[in-house]
Amino acid sequence: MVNSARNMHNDAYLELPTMQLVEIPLSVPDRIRHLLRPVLQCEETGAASDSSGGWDHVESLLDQWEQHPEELEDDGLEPPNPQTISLIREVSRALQAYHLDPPLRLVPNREAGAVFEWRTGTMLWLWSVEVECDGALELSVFRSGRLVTQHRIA
Amino acid sequence: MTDGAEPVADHELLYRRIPAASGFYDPQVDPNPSSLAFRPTKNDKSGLSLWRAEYKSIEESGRGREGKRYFVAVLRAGDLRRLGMEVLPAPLENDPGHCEIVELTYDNRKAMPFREWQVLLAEQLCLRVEGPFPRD
Repeated sequence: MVNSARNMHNDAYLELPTMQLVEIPLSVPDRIRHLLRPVLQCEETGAASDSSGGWDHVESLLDQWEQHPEELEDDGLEPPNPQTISLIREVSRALQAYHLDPPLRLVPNREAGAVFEWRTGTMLWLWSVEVECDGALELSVFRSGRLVTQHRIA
Repeated sequence: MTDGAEPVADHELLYRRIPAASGFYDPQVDPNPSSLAFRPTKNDKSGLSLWRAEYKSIEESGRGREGKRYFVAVLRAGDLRRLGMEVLPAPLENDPGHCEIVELTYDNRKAMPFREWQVLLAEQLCLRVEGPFPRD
């Protein structure tokens, strides 16, 4: 996260958020590498660190969702299914491979997928990786509640 | 209090129910709920459902499925309007206090500016979160 801090401070970039479609790499690690390019180059989002221990909580949560989906199920909330949980695990491991901070939280996306969310120390930046039940991955970066950039790999 | 058809006044407090098991809100982790707490569901066809405090107590708003617990996010109608969100009454049978943030629907949940609205609701417009309900 070093270079694209400049990009995120570019006014044009801030004012015109776009959904960028990128080519489809084959493996989950490759897809994560493509998806994370904007945040991995940006020191202000504070993504890179060496706190792999906190990721244990993510693994525990996924185990819980897998074993007790009925606890999560609610009106307008479809829990991730076993296939999606498997993909979320793969994504989680690919994210860990970049020595990212553990997410602030991992939450269901209401539609059988899930969202990893991070926030910076300054509270200004919020970024997320969404894993959809059809296998699509989406990165969203917000600054003070405004969308800065969004990338999707379908 | 009438049948719920009267306009929602700027000063009115509004409630949004958040399933506790979802992890959308955890005060130990973050004082703000996740924006997913404000993502429309398939049931939100004409707008995001909220409840008017003048018709329902916060405890009543936190009642959902049997055996489940819920937090309740508190918002103010005028704050939403200042950011361009319109709140209209949408009374239901036996639930006159139901209202909606119109346009924030399931179909456009990922379109702009509605994706931003979800983040703004969570990060800037949520006055506080209470619960979980029912209390122990």
